[in-house]
Amino acid sequence: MQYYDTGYLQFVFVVVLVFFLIFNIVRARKGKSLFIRRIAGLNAIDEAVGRSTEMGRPVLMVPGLSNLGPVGIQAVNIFSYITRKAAKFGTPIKMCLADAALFSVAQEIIRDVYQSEGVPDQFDPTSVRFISDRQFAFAAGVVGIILREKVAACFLMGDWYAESLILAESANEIGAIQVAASTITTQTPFLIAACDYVLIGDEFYAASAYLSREPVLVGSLVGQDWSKLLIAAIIIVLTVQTSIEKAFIPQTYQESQEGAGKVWTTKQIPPHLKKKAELFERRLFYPHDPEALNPKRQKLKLDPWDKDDSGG
Amino acid sequence: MNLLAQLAPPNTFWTAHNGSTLLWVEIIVAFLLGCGVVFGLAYIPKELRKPIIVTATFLGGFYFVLQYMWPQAQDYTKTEVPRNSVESVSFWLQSSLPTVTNFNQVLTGLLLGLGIASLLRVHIGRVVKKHQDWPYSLTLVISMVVMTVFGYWDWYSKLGPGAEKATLANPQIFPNFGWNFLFEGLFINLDAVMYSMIAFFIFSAAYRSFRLRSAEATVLLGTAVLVMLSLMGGVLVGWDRVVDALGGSGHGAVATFMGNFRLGNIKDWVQNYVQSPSIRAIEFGLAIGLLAMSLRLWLGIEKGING
Repeated sequence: MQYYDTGYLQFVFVVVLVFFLIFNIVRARKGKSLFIRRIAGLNAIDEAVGRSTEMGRPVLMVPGLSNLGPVGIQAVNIFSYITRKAAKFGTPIKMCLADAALFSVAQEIIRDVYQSEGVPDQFDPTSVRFISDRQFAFAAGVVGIILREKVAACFLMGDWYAESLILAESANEIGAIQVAASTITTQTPFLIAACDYVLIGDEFYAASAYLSREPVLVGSLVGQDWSKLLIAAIIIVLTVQTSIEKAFIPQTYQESQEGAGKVWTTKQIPPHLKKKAELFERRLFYPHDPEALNPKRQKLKLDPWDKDDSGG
Repeated sequence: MNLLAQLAPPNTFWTAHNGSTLLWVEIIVAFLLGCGVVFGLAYIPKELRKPIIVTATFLGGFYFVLQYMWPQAQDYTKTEVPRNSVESVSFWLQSSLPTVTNFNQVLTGLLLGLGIASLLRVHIGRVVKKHQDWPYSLTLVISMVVMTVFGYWDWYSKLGPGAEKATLANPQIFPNFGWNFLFEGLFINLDAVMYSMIAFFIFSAAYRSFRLRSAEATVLLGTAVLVMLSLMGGVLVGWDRVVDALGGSGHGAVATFMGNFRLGNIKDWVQNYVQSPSIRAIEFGLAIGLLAMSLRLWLGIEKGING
């Protein structure tokens, strides 16, 4: 499907990125030591759980409106680490979810954490709650929990939209320490304004590698960094190439001479007047329109009742 | 090659009529089968459960990888015959997509039931044990029941079996009024109230962020003030007149240079050359992180923080 817009470039690009990830996972599994820089927001997790323990108040964890996908799973991964810390100190937890599928998975994961810590009776099934799948009903429900339970630490990680600031400001109002991460870039500034620590961009995905140092995760993280370096290199090379093309390489076109029948002459357009569509970089990403089908397809023999001619 | 029988007559196993006995039988059998699979997975040993889930995830993911990667037929219509094996696969992929996405919806519906059960367990428990603030829980339970009753009643009166006849002979005004009152009259307005509260929260968050605590906060404050001023028509006109006056008349070098300091140009520069590239850089990182996470989940090598 993707060839229609981008030719084989995008396909090759995805394959290269996947190769980087798998190569580094294999490398890390072989015992190669890989470096991860310090991430302040993740170091603050212990501080926040410790504060909750001292104050005897719950830790609140919210994955926003994330559904059962990579973002939601990653958020629950981080929350399972926080729950492990809380379980060690007997600190109560609350987790609020807006997606029923993620709720079922999260409840099982949190139950497993308590069991593996040897304190299964500490697990309260009502501590992991499905609130509502409607955005603002969910926000109202979580704000109610924040204000009534007076949570001491608040972890907001996942897909956040307009409800992010309602929760973050409510938690700020009662003095809760907050660590946040949003995969929706428009919400990151709001979280930075309202929270104590924010994981920006892919720091959210780096969290599991950072906290666990598991070779598969660390290798994957290094593969991500290689991929980002490749993208940065492509941007720089194409910027330089496009600048040179627009400054020095003229565009030629054919023009018929007036009154001279079918005689065509080649003329030049000054380089700076080149249209976007004529640039190499543009042609690279948008190669061509699809060609007409040749040969054409045969028609199926359909039953007379079937009038619907649409695809799918 | 249409494996999912989109072209079969409407009264087959796959396309039973709405309200027909066949459809009810299918629903009951599918429900029992689904429950069997769920309970079966819950009771089999853990070491056996993981390979089953990993295999199912891989096959599900592989289907969508094919959807993305496999060359898809141009102008696909289900009335045409594929010309070669590549098109055969692409036809199958295109025609099966609605059915495969329906699996997802059915599963979501099943899990939503679990979510609602959890919600009711928490709140009915609070009401029965008379916990603090139990009247809120009671309100939630009553609202949920009333909304569900009116929702189904309204649907049944409009679209349920025999609905057309019932509407002509005896218009179902009450269920529709009830549903409209609850949804349009109450729910939508309450939603809007929550949304409008964001304005106040933005104000208080902005107040804290824009205090001159550090060099970064000062830069943030300066930039934000410039962008805000550029959105005020009167300020924009006044600022630009001063800049134009300083630049002098005509199209000389000084006037051109001073043109850079027109408020709209400053705002555009900040948004196009500072804000947008930063956001794009963050989005590149997020997209690659998502790709890595998805790949680990798809291949079954995601370990999680706790192993």
